[in-house]
Amino acid sequence: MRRLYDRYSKYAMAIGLRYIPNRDDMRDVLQDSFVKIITNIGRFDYRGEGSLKSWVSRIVANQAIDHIREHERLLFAEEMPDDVIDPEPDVGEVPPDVLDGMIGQLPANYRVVLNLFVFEQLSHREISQQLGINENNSAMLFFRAKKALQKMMIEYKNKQQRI
Amino acid sequence: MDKWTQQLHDKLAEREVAPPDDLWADIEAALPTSAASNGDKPLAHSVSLRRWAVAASLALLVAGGGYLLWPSSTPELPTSASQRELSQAEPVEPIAPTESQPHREENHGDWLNDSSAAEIRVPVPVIRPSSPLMAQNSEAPVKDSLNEVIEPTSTELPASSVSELADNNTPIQQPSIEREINETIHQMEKEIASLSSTSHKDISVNLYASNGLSDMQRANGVRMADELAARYDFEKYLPHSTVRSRGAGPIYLYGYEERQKHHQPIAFGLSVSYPLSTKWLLSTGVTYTRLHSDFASIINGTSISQEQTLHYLGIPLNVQYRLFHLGGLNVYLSGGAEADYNIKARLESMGVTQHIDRDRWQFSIQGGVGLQYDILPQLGFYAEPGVKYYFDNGSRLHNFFKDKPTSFNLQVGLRLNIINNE
Repeated sequence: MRRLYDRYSKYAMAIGLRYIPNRDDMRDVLQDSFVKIITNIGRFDYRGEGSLKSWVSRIVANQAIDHIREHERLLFAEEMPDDVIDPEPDVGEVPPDVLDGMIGQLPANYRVVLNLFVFEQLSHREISQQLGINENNSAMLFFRAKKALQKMMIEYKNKQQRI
Repeated sequence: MDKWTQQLHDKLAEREVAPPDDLWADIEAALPTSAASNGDKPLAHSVSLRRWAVAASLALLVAGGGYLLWPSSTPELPTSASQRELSQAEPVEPIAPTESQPHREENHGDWLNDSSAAEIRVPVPVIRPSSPLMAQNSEAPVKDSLNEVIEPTSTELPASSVSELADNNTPIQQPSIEREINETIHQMEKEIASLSSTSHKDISVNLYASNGLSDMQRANGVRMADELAARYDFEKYLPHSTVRSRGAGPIYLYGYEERQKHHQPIAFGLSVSYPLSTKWLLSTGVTYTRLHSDFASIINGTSISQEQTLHYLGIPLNVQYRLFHLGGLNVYLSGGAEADYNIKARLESMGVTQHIDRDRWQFSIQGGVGLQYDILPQLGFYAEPGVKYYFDNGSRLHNFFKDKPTSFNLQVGLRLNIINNE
């Protein structure tokens, strides 16, 4: 089991930090996630490493969402989307740790939907089912999360250019 | 997913961040206690199994010993001089009553007729301490735990009985008494024949252990799921591949492998046999069977191992047909069916034990040849090599029954004949 932890803990930590930027909170989530992974691995239908990795990812994501539900306000009120940012900033120009930090600064509802859509690759229908919201709400939250993130990226890029 | 979102995904999806250094210690502490004793588990099972075996053998010795001692305390035992002589002369071969010298090593040996002999109060303590079958006990191809059931019988019982026999076997040279003996034996033969021609009501109890004669293991490549293969861009990721094209057949994942090993089933049981006629017996009882399997998923050299243990309680129903007997050795055919119920299923994943869904009812049919050697009229040692076929019960569990539905097994045990003295 230690080898399983060694192999996937860094990956799981990175996933978790995109949901929960506070490292102390993330420690608790990661611990609970691995306890769940280890005690349930017998029920996991192994179909190659990819499936194991995505299973680990889902457990960490679910654990993180549960934590957010308990500790943060997770509002899903419908709002009208703002305008699209054009041109979109280049993702490649922002270092990964900075990007992670930006995602961490997003409101909890934005973070959750963005993570589920982009990294867990769930559809808005699946996200709406998991979070108990309607499908349009999920799409709207993602859109706003994306716009907020792009704004932060542009600000970061401008700041870098000034330096 | 649009291009920008895909870029975001590609940039961060495989990212890794070091977790806190001491997190594993907290995880270990939070795991169920069974995780801490990972390395001790197999030993614990082994000890547990041996305890069962020792307990079973002790129970048999106590029960069998008590039963064997009981007839010797009955008032019918010879006490007068003539009765004592009669007793000493009992080992005479019944088929050759005119022989002058008693054949002390000849076993009356018929697995059913011995009981009848006892019924007419002629105790025949026939022992074969040097029997080849007995000598082979400790070499039988079964687990140590099984030997523990058998060994006490193969050493202690014959030894004590031989000494008793030696005390009583002083040759006697009294022709008149011999004639009397022969007449008595003739009379016995007639009575035995008449009893045999009807039906015997003597029940025998068997305590046995059995296991398969081979393990089962295999290693498989892991096939890529069709839906994943359909979505995989082979031209992009495998541009030089000549075989990995869409629709080219099953695709196996590189570096991934699944291995499974099913250990021999181990079974203990207690059965009761009821004679239907001189040739046929019906037996039933209860059987405990333990299946143990090892599974390993190899991911680029990293192995995730799992151990599965299944415990079954079964009810066998068999018929036996006696072929012939030679001295103390009886040979018979055995066949029947068994229904096993999975009472407990457990999976240990690298130290973490958990209960899993139990298997469905497992039905099987079996057949084999039995060899029985009567140590005493009331007690026999037997071995039944045979073949067993397990029907597919449709469950998703992988076990020995599924992967090797037809298997050879060896059942060894002790058979206690409960003689009806009424």
